[in-house]
Amino acid sequence: MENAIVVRDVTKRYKEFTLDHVSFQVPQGSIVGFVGENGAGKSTTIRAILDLIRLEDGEVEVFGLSKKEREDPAWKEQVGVVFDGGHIPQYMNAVETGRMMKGIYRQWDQEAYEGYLKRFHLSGKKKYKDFSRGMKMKLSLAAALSHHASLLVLDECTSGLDPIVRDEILDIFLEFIQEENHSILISSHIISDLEKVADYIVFIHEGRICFEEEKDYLLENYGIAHVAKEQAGRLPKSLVCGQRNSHFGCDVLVRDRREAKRLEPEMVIDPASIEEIMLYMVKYH
Amino acid sequence: MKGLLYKEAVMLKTTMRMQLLSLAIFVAMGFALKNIVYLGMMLTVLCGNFCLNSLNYDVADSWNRYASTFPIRREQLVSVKFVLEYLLIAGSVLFTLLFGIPFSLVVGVPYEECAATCVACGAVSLLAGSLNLLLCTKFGVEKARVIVTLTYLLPFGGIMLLYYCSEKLGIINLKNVTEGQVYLMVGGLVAVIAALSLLFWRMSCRVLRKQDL
Amino acid sequence: MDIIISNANGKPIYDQIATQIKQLIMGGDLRAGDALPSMRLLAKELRISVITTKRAYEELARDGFITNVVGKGSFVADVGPEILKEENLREIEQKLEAAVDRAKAAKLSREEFLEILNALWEE
Repeated sequence: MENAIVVRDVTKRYKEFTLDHVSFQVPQGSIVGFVGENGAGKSTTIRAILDLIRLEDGEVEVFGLSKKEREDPAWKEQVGVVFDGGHIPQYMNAVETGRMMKGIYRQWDQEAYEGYLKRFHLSGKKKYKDFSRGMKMKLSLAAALSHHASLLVLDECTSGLDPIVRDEILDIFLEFIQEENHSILISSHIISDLEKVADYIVFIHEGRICFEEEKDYLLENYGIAHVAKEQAGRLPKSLVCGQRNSHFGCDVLVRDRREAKRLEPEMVIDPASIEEIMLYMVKYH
Repeated sequence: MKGLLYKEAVMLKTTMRMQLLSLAIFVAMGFALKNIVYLGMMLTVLCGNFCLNSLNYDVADSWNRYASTFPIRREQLVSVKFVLEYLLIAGSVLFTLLFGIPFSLVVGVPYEECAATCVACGAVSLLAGSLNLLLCTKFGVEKARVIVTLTYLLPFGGIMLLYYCSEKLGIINLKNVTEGQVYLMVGGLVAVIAALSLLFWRMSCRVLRKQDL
Repeated sequence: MDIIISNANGKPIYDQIATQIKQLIMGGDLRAGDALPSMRLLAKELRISVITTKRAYEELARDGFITNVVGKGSFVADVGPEILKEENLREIEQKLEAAVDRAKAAKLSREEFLEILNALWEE
């Protein structure tokens, strides 16, 4: 199977927002970072992928299965989901959550679950509503990792966590992906996390996909040129993605920094981070 | 389904203490006022309330959205509530029927009257509870809150209607009814209520299937 | 085996990895038949994308330094002297290309450039 997830022309209309013909793929064995500002459509897209909402147009394939083939919920045994906020019943504790999941997932691995609880320092007896935000998220993640899933879908699960916890979690993702048939789709507006571990970056803005690209390609090619205004004007339009003007010059996001350097050898160009690419494409377009 | 039922059981355990306290109070009331209806109604309302409380928590936790990513059919999320309701009501009716034996002996009320009251309470609970589950599934617990309170008055309204038909319109003559006819009517009523409940169950499943989560 | 990569280097990361592994092989630290860490393990340890390590390994295989066996892993190839020579030639060509570009940009003539080259060779 080439792709764990295929999203094709997915369209969903709400009163104030439209998901407009969104298309991208999650190749098997990869980590895809799904980025965009708040309200761009990340969560809506993920809900579309998980069959939580009905679509006006477009289709989704998961594990190569069409929507009709996914009516039998057996495919969800392979999928571990973590939503922002956790959504585990607030009156349950970690031990009870494990027992509940055991009665839901056929391949529930109690040993693995307890291992994660220990690793995450989660108390078994504390009620979910008394957990901190980070702990809630870690518990959901522990549950998602304990039923032999081959696909993780994570929606904004690192927001509100401190860098140390986020680092721990990124390590776990890298461990998860050691198996060739494991894939992860992770949406976040904290780009720095994805910059480390993602293989592909899909950028969504106002309900449309702006780009779907190998992370390395983005980091190796895009650049921010710090130039005077006339210099900026000389750069070909096809190279420029965004421009920020200040009193003393401007910063230009270029698609190919080596090409730009070749055209204007005196120009100062720095490599662009994913965050800067996103910022320039959205704000300084 | 097993895991989902376990979740409800955990919630039951969490709220158990309050319920047992209320139970004790209503038992005392029943003895004091020499009518088992208080206990019957209280258990009835408790069952209905529990299911709605459970739904309330689910909404607050966005549980349906999360649980729809489990390898279960969506309908099971609402079916578990109905199954729970049936179990609780059956348990309550059984409890009050058994309790009625010492009660009728102590208080001096005929057992048939106690038993009839218990079954009636159970039937009311079944009708109102099932309708409430359907309404809350469709409109959400917040919006349905007002209607939910009114559903318990449905049987009351039904009795008023019956009275009106009998006294004012003379359609049905309730004065000369035989014991056999009474049992027939009651049996028929219970059957109708059970059928309605199953219908509401099916409708709730359909509502949930079509919902955006 | 130590692999050091730098984000500020300017060279693409897959290139840095490939170059370092080549140097380890040419220097004898890695011998023919030695198993290399899996692409995924390397990616995890270096905290980079699997695509990067894959590309590095593909380049190493293309240049004859390693062989990638599906299902088993990657192993150091029997690197003969021709491959070493080719690798050295490639690096020399790269460096000379940079020098030529600079010379042309500075508007040097071919003779002036060759003069510098000869003088350096004599040293």
